[in-house]
Amino acid sequence: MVFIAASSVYAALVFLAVHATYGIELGRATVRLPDPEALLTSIDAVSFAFWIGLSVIASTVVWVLAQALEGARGEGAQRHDEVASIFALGQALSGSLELDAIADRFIDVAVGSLGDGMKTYVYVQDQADAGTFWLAGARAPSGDHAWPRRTSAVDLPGPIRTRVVDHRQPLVIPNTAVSDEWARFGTTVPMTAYGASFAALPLVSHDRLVGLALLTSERAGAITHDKVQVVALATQFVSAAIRTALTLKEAEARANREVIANRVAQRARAAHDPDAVLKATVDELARALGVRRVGVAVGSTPDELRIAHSWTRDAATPPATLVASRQAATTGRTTQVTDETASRLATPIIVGGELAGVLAISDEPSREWSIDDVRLVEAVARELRSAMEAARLLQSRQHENERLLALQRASAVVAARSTTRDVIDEILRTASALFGEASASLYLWDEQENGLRLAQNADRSDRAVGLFLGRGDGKLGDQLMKLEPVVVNDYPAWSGASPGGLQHGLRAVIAVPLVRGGSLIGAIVMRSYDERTRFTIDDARLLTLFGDQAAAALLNAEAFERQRRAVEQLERVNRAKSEFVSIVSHEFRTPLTGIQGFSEMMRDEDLSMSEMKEYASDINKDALRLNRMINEMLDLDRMEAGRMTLNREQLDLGAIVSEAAARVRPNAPGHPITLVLDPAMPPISADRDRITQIVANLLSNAVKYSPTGGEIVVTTAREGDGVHLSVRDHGIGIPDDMLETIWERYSRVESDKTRGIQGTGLGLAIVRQIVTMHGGRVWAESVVGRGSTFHVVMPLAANGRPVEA
Amino acid sequence: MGRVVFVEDDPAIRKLVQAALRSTTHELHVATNGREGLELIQRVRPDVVFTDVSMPELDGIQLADAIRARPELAATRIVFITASVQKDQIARYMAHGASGYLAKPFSTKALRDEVTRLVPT
Repeated sequence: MVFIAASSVYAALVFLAVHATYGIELGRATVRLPDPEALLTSIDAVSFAFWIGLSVIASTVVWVLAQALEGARGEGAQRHDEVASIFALGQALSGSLELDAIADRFIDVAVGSLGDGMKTYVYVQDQADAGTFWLAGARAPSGDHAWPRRTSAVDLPGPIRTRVVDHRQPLVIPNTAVSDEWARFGTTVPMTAYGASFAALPLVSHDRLVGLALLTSERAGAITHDKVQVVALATQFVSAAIRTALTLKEAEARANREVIANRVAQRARAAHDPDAVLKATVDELARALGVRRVGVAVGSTPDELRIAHSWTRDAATPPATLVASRQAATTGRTTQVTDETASRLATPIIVGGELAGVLAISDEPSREWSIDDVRLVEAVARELRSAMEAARLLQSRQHENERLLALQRASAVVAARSTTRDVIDEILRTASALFGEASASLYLWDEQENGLRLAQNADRSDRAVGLFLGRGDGKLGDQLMKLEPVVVNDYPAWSGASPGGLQHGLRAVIAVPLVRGGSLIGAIVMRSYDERTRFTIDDARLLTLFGDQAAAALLNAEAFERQRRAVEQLERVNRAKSEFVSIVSHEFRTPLTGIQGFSEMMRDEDLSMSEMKEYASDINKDALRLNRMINEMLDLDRMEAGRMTLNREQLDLGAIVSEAAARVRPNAPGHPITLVLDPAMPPISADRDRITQIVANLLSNAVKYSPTGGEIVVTTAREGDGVHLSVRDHGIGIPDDMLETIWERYSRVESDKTRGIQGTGLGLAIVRQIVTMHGGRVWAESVVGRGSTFHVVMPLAANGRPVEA
Repeated sequence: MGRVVFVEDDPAIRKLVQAALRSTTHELHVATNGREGLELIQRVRPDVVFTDVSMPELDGIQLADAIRARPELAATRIVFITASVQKDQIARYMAHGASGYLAKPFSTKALRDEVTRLVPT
């Protein structure tokens, strides 16, 4: 209106000016007009009309101009505001800022530009893993907190992934209800839920994607291409700022990591004790991260992992589960396991391409691990390699030492001329020392049963173990028979578990075969009933090495025992021989005494003819006796050397027994001899003289070794395809340990009771030789002080085998 | 005129000794084993006992111990008749109270000399 009023005043002034000008000009006119007044009036009329028209035109122009000017002024102010806000943003972001502060500023701009009622998210791409985005900031109407701290590209809807992440182009959907692209979203993430209009903007700096801005509104048309332009402009500043922040943060984090990692590395290099390094590292990491638990587990397979060192903030921290550690060991990658109660992070420690252990942290309550946490744990794990390697070396050296000690002990036992029993004891003692938590059992190969039989069990508890491991007898026996070691952890889950083992709560087993010359001679089995026990491949290797030594020690002991028995046998024979010399000299001298004495008397004294004859007959008897003794000795020698042949004929055993008894009776008045003869006894095929000798020797012994007298019973009986002859006395008896050796040559039971009893020590040896030559066998039964029974069993037919030398 | 006891399980040697000492004036008693010999010795209280070493029941050494254990037989001399005459054996005989020994085979003269030596006249 101001413009209209002004233009009217202007028009009026113009009119008055025209009127006055024309009035003056008309008054001075040289050409007289017929009617100047009429002319003036008409000029005034025309002028007035012109004035009116001009005023209207001017007013219109001024109004339009005013309108245009006013519009121009409003737009300029808004532009000015927007530019000012971006400028302010640029200024605000020029310094170094934390990511969340940057995101906050950006969200201010976005909200300022697009209005309230928006959800805005800023995600920053992980520096190491381009597929991962971390939330830097978010804002939404109150009460709505649906923003994951971390998202991955593959979880994002397809169009966002391809357009925004891959091609770094903005994606704007003003109305999702009518958008083809929105329809193609397929997946719904919290950031796109409930959106009526939506935009996803790439945050790009130096041609690199650094993050994403996601904008969503519940109102359609709230976000349009035009409206989002200012926000898009702001992303440039934000991207640069994020990039700077990331670079700085990364540099700082790397510096921090390097400080800790370097300390670990220095310790690892400086310390002689890898254990100390592990411990110091764990403590260091705990301080740096401020978590509840840090631990190092050692092991070359996921199953073998055992906690070597662990730090916990307080006593209330629950025990480690090794869940994440096993997973990390299995995958060979850093692993996060998070549940409602706790968050765990574990990274494998790889030495020479092989798993050496796992470094793990955990915190409660559950939290999200930052990329820095992950990097730090990984960096420290790398530095721990050398410490772990040293630890492993030391451990293997310790094992080596223990093994050497074990071997030394085992061989010392053998050297000390121990028995097999002692060696077995020592093996079990050593095995128990090597595997403290387990019970050791030694099995030995049983030729008859074709399996492994328990020889000894060193379990201090009363738990029973398998007495016999056979083929098809569960997997333990099967595998050992394949000469393979067995390592079982988590016994209850093992397919070869035995009902007995399960019943006794067996948790882990390690077993190695004892092999000698390619064949199984036994097995060492270690059983643990402690569920924490984990046997490793190294354990199996150690036990196998020990098993080799144990097998050698066992065989040595056996060989030694055999040798010792042989030596004892030789010594016994030797002793018996020298005794024999003494006995023989004594026995020979007795008849010699008679021969010498009577011949002296015949020479020196005046004797009658009858006295002469009598003494000569005595001399003759003694000479014959001497001869008999010599013959007996030679007979045995010949028999033992296999140089005697049998003159077999059909014999009536009963008749021979009767004849022998008849010869003995006159010389043994104190020993009634009873014969219990089988009347149906068939004839036997044997050498008459030899069988007579057997019966005579046994009868003579029965008399000799029953000095107080007593009945002697001789029995014959048919027994299967053979005959059974036994001679029972009521004499001094034979100790159990001598029942076998009495059959040996020159062997005699030495005691006060036998000292006065003379014999050549050949009688029973001759009996055995003869019976053996006839294909029969002999044995004796006795009760000391009550009497003895000597048994002879011989086949009826002549199937005697050659006599063993 | 002394009393002699001879203990020997071998009948041939007993017979020889009896024949050898028949020409002397000494009184000879014989026994076939140690126990029998001890009874005989306690009964006849001989001046000299000749005894075999290896005998059933009670051997020569045990018999000598039994004699030495009896004060009333303190004067009885003991002579072992043995085939074992190694030094250590002889020392053992002496330790058990023997006055001498006769090695088998022995001559009848040696036997008579020993009797003469040990029977007090």
